[in-house]
Amino acid sequence: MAGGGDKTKIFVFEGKSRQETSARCLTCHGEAHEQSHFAQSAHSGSDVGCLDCHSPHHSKEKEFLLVQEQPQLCYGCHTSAKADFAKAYHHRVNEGLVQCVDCHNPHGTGTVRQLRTLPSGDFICYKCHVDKQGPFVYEHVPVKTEGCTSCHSPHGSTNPKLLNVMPVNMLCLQCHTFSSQLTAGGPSGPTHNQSAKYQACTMCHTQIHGSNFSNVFFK
Amino acid sequence: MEPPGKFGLQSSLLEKRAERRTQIDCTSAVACGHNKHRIAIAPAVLVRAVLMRAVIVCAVIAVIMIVLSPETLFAQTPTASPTPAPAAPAEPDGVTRGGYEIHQSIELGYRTTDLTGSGDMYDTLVNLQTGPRILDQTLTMQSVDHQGLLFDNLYLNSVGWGGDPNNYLRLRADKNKWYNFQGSFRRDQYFSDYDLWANPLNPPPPPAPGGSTPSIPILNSPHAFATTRRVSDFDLTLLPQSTVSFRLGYSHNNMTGPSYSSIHEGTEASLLQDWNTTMNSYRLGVDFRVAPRTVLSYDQFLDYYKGDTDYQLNSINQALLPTTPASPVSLGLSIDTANNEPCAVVPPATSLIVNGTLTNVTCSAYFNYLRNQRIRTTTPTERLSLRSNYFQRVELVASFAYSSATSSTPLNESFGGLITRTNTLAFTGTGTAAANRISDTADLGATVHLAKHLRLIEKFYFWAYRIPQNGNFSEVDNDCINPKACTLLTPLSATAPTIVPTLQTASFNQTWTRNQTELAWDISKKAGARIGYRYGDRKFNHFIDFLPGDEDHFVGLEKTVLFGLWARPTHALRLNFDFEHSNFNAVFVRLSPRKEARYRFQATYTPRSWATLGGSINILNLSNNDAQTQYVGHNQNYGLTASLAPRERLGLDLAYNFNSVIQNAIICFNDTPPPGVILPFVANAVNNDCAGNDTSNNLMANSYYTNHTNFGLAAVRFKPAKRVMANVGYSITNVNGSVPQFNILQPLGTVQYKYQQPVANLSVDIGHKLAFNMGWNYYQYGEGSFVGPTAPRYFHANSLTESLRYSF
Repeated sequence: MAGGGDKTKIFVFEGKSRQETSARCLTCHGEAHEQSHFAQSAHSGSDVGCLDCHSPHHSKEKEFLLVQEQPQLCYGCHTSAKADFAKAYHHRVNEGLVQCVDCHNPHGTGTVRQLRTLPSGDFICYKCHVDKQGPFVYEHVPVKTEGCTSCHSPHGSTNPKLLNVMPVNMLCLQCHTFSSQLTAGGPSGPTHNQSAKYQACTMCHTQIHGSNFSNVFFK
Repeated sequence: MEPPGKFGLQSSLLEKRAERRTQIDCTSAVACGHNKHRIAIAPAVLVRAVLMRAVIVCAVIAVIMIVLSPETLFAQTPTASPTPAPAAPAEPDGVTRGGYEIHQSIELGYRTTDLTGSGDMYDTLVNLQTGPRILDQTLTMQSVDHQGLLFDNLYLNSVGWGGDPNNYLRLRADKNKWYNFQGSFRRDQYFSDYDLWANPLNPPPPPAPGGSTPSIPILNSPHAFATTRRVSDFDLTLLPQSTVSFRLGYSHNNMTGPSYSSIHEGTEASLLQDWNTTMNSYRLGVDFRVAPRTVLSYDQFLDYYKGDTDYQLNSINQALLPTTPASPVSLGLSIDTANNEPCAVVPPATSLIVNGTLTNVTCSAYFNYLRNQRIRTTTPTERLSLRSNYFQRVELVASFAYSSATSSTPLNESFGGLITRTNTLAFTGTGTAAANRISDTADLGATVHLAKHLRLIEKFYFWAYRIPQNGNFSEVDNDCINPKACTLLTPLSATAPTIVPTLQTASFNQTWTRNQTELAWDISKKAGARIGYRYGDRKFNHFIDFLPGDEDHFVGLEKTVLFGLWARPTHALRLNFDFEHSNFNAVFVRLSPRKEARYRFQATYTPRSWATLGGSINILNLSNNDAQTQYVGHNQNYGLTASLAPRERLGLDLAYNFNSVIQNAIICFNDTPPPGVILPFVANAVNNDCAGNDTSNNLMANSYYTNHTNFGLAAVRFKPAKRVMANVGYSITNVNGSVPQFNILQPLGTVQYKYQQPVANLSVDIGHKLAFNMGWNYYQYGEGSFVGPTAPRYFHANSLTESLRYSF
């Protein structure tokens, strides 16, 4: 400016709204696939901008210039997630093995909850849990129609295998009971004595995520 | 031969774990706590061990310092120390060598674990064992003038090597305009033995109601896991800022290791399951900058999956046949003679097994079982995508992907034993299973800036897949020619083969369309709001054998109202509120909601630079008020956090969270408790054949599951001396809930427990860029209900970690 430059061409971040500062960052970074949905994202709609998570000059986390390392950065707002990952059974986020960005794209996605998907449209869970993706000759309907969260709580659960409900037969019976809402009454209920060994449904129905050989998921 | 009193652990990895641990026959947490220390460490021994380990660690660090010393690699240039920041500890200065500013740290240590109680439960939840560790390593190199030969920036971080169950390495490198590289390697050693999982709950002996003779409890989980998953991801972008740039990627996911499974053929056998799954994924992408602020991309993905998991019989609960020589047979997991599992006791015998010999040879049992599969799945996916800000007021993103997966596996299965229901002595199963998954995915997002502070946001998502399925199997059953004389002693020559073919052709299809429109208004720099509407349309078709009337067909419509508010009334205070309410006109499964409501409130208050207070409320309510379902689900979460660091020498972290989960639906079930046993849930169920709809499940009741979790955390950081930093903390997860009891032997388990984790750390700056760290972690898990016919699950453990950290 001392040399006669035009001050109006300098973008000053101070005093700008988050929409304006984010738009500035996106002039360079908006072309990447990772950031492409930011303008439609829940974070953008909640007035969370680039500089809420990133600091180009004073980052504490060097890999992606974050103001704080994951997951503490995310816990700053998403406190319920902090409690979920402290439960006895949890994805190893606090241990560093899994990061929030492995399943969620904080810059937004085309789906809800900023969840990532596989290129085929399948749930992101199959990125690691590859053996559950199939396709199978005998599919377990809710796995494909409702997704993994119909039975599991992916952040953390007080129950083993991150199940929503324990014991297992409780979870199974809540769907495997007659309902006139569903064609032919829905999936049949078991004809087993719940007071005997049959309370352990998955002792027999082992391939519960889908089977190639058994229509009752025995093998 | 006496029946084994315990679920045998035969796989090599699980045996090694058993050898490392001393099995403790605890009948109660109190008994475990009094006198069952796994590793007794006297204080003097501990101090000597720590000192010796410190000497070893120092020697290793000295070697590494010599190897990695800047003096070795670059000419040394002295650097000035920065003025330390008043609040936070100063980052190490780093060194400048060869045109790079280099920061490096490495922490080597030793972990000692002292465990009392259930080693299997400890390994399931914590799994930190004794041994040396490379706890942490970080290297950053930044080119001072962006003229680095191979890279301008390098970041490398790795954690947990030497025996921790979770390790990872992350690498990122880039050179301005030339390339951008990210790589990671993660290893997850997954041990799971929650012993109530898939457990038949074999009853105790008489005179207990429903007593079994013999009584053989299954002490461990029949589905215990000891597997290791290794995941690698690599992504390289070439010429990232050019008109045309290229992206290459590769991922590898491999899971191996032993676990247990089971199979039902007459009765339930325990199986050794040797995991071996591999996914190799290849990615190739091209980005074309076809116009200013407009990028057109093409991506090709190739996924190759191999599933080579094999199963073979794990011969537990063996008995000898009354033959000469006596040959063993496995009775399987379920031993409940009062319920004729695997068969009844035939008088005059008083037990199914007497002196190791089976007294009823008409029992379902196993001589052998084997199942192999070789799943091969190939999934090519093509994706075209567009991102454009070409028009000043419109931000556009769109993509379309087509994927076609092909999967097949042969079936190779064999069984030898007796299945009494069908009088089968042996069978072999062969055939081929094949399935495809063809999917189309499209998404379109647009943001139109109607005015400076008003924008219209449109999100459209389409996902359609169909899964044609084809199973062609043939099972050759060797069934007894004379069913009345069919026993475990009957030779195969007395059977006739029966071919049981299975031809399954089906198709599983779903089409899902979702469109969300929102209007976002920035009222001012301090407040904003948005309102929106989401419409969804799901069609589900399931064709079985393509016969008339053999089709399930559903159409589900979603209508969701969205609303959100944000406010920053002051620089220090931030508030967010979001609300969604959905109505669905149909359900695909019973637990799908007809109504769904989400409320989320978050507040953050930073009155001072050293004080941050936060609060959140998250509420999810689900319901399906169909008269025969009455599904209600709610998940309510309330949390408070506080982080205070008024001085460099003092800091306090507090957190509290309450999570309430309720899930209920009407269930119909069949339950006949043993004579004399009254289960309130069963006794109060209505006996009406599921309101006349299911005679096999005569009892009907509400199946309330409640789970209330309180989580509390408190930690204090303080500097008792200039070079000493200490941290003392405590966290507890207290779970209290209720669930219907279907079986008198079924404890509440994880519906009621406490998990406590105090922690203390000490860090001493000993100069020369070295810090000595000592950390103590304590873990205690205890359930509030009875143990059940399994091994106890209570444990408490001390884990002490000493380490030296070198950083510059």
